[in-house]
Amino acid sequence: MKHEEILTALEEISDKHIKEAEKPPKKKKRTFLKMAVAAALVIAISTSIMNAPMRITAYVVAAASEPRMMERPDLDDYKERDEWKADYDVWDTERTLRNETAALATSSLSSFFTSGNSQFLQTKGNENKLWSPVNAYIGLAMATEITEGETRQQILDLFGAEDTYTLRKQVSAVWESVYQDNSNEICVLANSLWLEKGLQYNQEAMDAIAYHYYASVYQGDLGSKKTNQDIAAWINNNTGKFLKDSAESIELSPETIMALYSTLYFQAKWTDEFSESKNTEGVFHMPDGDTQAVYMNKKLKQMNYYWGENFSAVMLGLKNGSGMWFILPDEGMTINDVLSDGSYMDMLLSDEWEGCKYMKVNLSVPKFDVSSTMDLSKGLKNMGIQNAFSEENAEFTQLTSDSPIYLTAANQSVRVEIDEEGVKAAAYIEIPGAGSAAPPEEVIDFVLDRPFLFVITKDKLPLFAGCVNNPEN
Amino acid sequence: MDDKQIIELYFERNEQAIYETDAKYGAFCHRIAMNILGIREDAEECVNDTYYSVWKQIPPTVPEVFKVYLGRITRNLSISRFRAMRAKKRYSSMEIMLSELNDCVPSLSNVEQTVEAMELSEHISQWLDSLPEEECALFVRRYWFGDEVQELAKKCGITAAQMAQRMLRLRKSLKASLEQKGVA
Repeated sequence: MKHEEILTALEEISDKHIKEAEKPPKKKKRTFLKMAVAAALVIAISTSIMNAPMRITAYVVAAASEPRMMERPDLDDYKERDEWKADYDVWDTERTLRNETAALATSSLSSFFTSGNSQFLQTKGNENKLWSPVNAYIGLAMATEITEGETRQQILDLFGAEDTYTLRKQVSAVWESVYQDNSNEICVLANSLWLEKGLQYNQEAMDAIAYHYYASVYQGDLGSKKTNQDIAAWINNNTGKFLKDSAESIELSPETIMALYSTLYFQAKWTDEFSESKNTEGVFHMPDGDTQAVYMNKKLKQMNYYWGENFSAVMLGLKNGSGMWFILPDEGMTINDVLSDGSYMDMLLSDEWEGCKYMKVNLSVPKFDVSSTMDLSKGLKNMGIQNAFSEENAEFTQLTSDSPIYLTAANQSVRVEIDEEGVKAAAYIEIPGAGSAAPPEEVIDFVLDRPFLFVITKDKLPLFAGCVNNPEN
Repeated sequence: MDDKQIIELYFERNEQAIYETDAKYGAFCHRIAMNILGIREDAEECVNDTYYSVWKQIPPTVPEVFKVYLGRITRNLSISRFRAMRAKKRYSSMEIMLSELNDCVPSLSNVEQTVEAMELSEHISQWLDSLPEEECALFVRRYWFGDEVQELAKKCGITAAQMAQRMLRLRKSLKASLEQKGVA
């Protein structure tokens, strides 16, 4: 028997049960508000971007706006159906508009994501590389509020936005469509700007950052131990301490007069969890040598199987509506080949990818907890963000006219961990070198036992991307 | 307008029947379809298909409880759409519900008989009868109406994690009951 049969059988349960269920349930008093979530963690991810030539301590210049999204109106909270319908329509219109704007942003960002993956995920040897496209996007977009001229224009161009106004709207929409924070599903983007004590700032720009980018702005003694601790605390607060080690090792140089921090904290469960009892140990073939890995397995799982010219892929759903793509280069191809070709991005962003079949898959995914800290500045310069990093040409004149400011680095720390709950034997099975041909079998083995790419997307927006050369990090 | 009058309109082949159905039960149907599909356009199409289906079925059918009858059709059509479109679209709420229902599947491997859907429905109904009223309602709200765990938790004044635990216990109880009856 399968779950589908239970679903079908439920169609015919008696009228009595359906009518009874319509009655509102008895409400119980809340005994406590929060439960620990760490034990239930299946996938947890965090990242922070740190632009290092600047930064602060505790005075709040502007506080981040509270989330402005409406909650979905619940019919049971209304006496009149028309009132519910009216509120529902407002909610739905707002949601539709937001999703449309976010979709527009996602589509105009596709070249940024593709070239970013190509810039930041090229690897050598057994190193893992990770980055968060959406985090870098929001962190950099925030910089348009405090820059002018060519410095600003280069950022707008990279993100395909006509002007600051459009970019603000898109960032707000992206933030709001991604935002989720409840006990089990977390996807929280947080931003902060830290200014050196005594720096004269433009309050209007700070307020705009707080409102449109949901960012907090602080001012303090950048480079001091106290402010380093403040920043670490801010990062820890916004990432559930998932990046504790890298947060607490932050030491801004005393010359820093501004620092920008963005975090993205993500935690979600698989829609269909793995069972630990079916885990197996096996060899993972790294570029240089082999290592042992623990594989989470699913046998004969009905799912979409994707393939392209030089890769095959599956996507595992997460309960918060996002999904994690696993992209495996074909035999003889490398991650760098797939990244350079870039067609995998079309698969991620398209509704009509031809290489797709709903079929049974024997799936083996290694458990991993990988992290990397990377300075994105070189790659960003290659992608056209030249002036912001240039001592001579940077124009952070919307922030202050006090002293010339430029970015010296754009550090991003990312950690991604996945685990199961669960299951089963995976012998090493070779992936057919399918190329662009459809898989001939009814059942296919998808075994991630050699370097692979992953991308976590929500509504096609890439939250995280990484290449895993060594699951044991 | 009461249900009998609406059904009368269907028998008279008066298109006002559909308008009245929508006015009285549109939100109810819409909610079931939205819970299952989560995409407004798809949900709306399912609700419209529901009206079309009702128009074709009445007469000769005379529904016993009109609201439940409508809900069943909407639910069936929404699930059919989910099954037909799942390869192309992501209906995450339905995928979650299905993955949860996995917990109810009996683990007997080479046992007794494979049951027909109707027989399985009866087993499930009997199991529902054996539950305390509130637990029964919760199970039906979650797996028939497709209400989200969070929503149910809010209504009961407990946390989502507590509600998820409660649901897990219910699913395990159904599984045990089916196993006891030798259903495989």
